[in-house]
Amino acid sequence: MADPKHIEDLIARIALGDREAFAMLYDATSAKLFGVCLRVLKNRGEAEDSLQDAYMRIWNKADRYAVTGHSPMTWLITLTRNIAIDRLRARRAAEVDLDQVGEIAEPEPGPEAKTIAQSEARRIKACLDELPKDRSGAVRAAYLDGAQYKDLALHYNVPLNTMRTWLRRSLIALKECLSR
Amino acid sequence: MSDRPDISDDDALAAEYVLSLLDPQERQAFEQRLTAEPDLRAAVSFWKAEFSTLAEELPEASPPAALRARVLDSVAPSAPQRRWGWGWFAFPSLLTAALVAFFFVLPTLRGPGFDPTLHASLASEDGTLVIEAGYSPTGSLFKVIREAGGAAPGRDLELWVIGPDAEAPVSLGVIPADMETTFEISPEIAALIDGGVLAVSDEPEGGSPTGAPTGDILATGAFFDV
Repeated sequence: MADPKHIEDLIARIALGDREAFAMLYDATSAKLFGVCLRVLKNRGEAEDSLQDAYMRIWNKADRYAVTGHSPMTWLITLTRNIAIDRLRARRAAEVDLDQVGEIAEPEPGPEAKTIAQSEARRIKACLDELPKDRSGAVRAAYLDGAQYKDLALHYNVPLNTMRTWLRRSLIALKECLSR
Repeated sequence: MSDRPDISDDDALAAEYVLSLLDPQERQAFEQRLTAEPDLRAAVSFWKAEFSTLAEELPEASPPAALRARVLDSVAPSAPQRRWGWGWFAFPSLLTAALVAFFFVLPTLRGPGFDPTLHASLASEDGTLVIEAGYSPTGSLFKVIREAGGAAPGRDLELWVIGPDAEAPVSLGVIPADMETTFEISPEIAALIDGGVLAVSDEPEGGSPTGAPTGDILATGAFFDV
């Protein structure tokens, strides 16, 4: 992954309509963002369409990036995930079958574990690890797989309201850990 | 719900929002609160940053080469009208509609064929928004260059000309997302420019609904001879 400052500069140039910067951003980030789309949608065709939509939104919204105050990868990932989730939810009877997803795997950290983002990732991983395994799995499934409460309740075989209470408690514990 | 008073239920709610766990009604209610509550916006930003780092560790996957071409082609200059967002007809002001003749002119900018005699430079107080404009009597062309900044989310920037003896600003339309734009103006508007002032205001999406500026005036600048 390219250095965040470089990505930020590219976004600033894209905001001015610089197509060359747009191509460079695509080359630097598309594999990461495609990984996000594939994880959410688990369907190559839909992931490709979502990725294209994501870059269109990046092109059109680059001038708004600065006011979000986010790091460039947070902005890009959030925007891409939201598009993929919208597509997922638009499927008829959208249900994420977590049993088909299989084990909600912990990905291996990449070799470039040096940036601040990486250390933040380690922090949230460490905090998730403090939660009971099924609770942290539910948080990951919601973010990475777009699981909804009904999917989670089905997967963990608990009533919907129980699932929500669980998860909210987990989120509060997570917040407490991250704020330490 | 929590026995820890320093961490509010709103934190959990903001996390649920970022995780896309709220149902449509809850989501809508939450988004309404967001516009008015900076603390809630901060909580959302916090969770977006935290959760996005989870995605940073996902395995990368190269999209097909054809997709790259599709993405890059879709922002190619061969489709100039795609992003053409001037909201001329959004204004009920008959005056504006009568005064403005609008033509889409080639998006070739700083190129030959544009020879401005009058300029205006606009910069917001904090320097985040910078707009340059020029008027060329040859062809009555008006050019707008957005050097820096843009409209806030869900808002638009609208340009106004205030003639030397004018009682009210006349709209030049909403500034499109494009960095540069050139269009033809009517002789009536051209007459306001010499000795006049250019202003940019913050407006609802699509431009002022009243035909007069409704939001903050972000910057103004007098036209000057080149």
